[in-house]
Amino acid sequence: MKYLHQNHRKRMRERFIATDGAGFVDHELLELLLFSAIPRINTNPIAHDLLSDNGSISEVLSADTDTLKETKGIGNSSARLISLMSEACKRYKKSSGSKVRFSSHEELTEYICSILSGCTESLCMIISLNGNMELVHSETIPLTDLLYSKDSTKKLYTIILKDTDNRFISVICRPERLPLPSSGDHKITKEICDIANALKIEYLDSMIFGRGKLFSMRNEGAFGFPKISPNE
Amino acid sequence: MNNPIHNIENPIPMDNLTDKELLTELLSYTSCKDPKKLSELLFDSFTSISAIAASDKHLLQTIPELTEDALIMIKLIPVFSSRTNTIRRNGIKLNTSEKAKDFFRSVLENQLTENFIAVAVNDKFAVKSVMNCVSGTAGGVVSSCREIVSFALNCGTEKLFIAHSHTINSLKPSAEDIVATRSLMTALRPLNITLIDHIITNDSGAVSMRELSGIDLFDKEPDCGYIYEPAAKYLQKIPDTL
Repeated sequence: MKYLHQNHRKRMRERFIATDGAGFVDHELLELLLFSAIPRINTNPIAHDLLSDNGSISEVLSADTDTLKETKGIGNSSARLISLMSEACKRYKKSSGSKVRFSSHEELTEYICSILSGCTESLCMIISLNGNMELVHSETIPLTDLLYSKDSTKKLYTIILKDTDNRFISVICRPERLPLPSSGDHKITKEICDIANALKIEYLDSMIFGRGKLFSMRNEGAFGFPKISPNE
Repeated sequence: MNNPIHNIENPIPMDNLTDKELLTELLSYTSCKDPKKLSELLFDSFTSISAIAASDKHLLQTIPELTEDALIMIKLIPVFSSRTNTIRRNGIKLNTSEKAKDFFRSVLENQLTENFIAVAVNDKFAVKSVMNCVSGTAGGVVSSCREIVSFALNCGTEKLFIAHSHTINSLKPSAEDIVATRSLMTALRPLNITLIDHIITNDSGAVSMRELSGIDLFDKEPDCGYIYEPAAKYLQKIPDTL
């Protein structure tokens, strides 16, 4: 029984990671959250009880710890976890309203360096920006997929098409190499450029990141990108 | 929970936790070895809770200190956020179709995918409880039927609204919208729960399916005093563009 339950938790975690939570109904999300606080007991009935005792997932997350502990199976630790998640959601919603805005190319490159500083794998990141140079969305694809997968073009189209009203940049990340453009980088940049032209979306820059440094093709006037003026 | 950072008996009040401390305490429930160090690393890179939670999972997975369950904990934040709402419920009454349309437009605005919501109201049409359903197509109404019925029963309501957002320009109910609504009505009727209306929204406006003629959907469903533009005023077929 223990083995079956462990497999159930493992499958549920894998499904969540693979789907980003899409298709998870409310009680499954609570069940998954409670895995972390209740390591050995089946949390599925507890999740159902939380919803039936409180009415909805909104009300579970807005309930105080004393109310939560009235549900069988919820103790101090799990009640605290639910409250922490509720607080995290509030702060997430609050700070989601204020987008990151880049006033200069330098600010953008600093941001990219900071988020890629801990990266240990080779990947390509597409960053979507709106007309106010605010960050709208970013998504990554492993570099091996981009170079060798038959579906690479389709994947790029899918990512770029998510924000068709915006403009975007691409960043090729190779953490262990200096950011010098290779023939592979040119190939990827050309493919992205072709897609941007086909979709009539503005392709702002192609960057390469490696060993903590960033190379901007636009900055260097490479690949047909207009060179950045001193005032930008 | 491998790294109990917090004192369960005397927990720090939520308001007193910084964002970093909040994330550290959340991560202490996971298997990561040093939640405080990981939290600092994440904030150094992404600067805010929203940026961390919204960041691409492939990027997060490249951080060696981030375990699988820590990744899940972080990615649960935006998922739970999309399922909960901060809709002010006190004093909101959906006793007219205009109020219902305004309400659901504000709740469902700026949706990138079709989102679906169910709202239970009391006898005076005051909002009692709100449920966000799995986002997707209106076909999700069918798959969420059990969830909606369960929600309505849990709330002890006799009156229910549902609404979903269209990502396309048209507000015209699709055949799927109509079939799904009819299925839900059939499921609720034996429980004496009335589906008052099904509102469809998009960026340009909202429509009430009860008001639209030509569907024959709500004609046998009591209105319970709900005020809407009588169908007799709209004797034309559902327009192709709305």
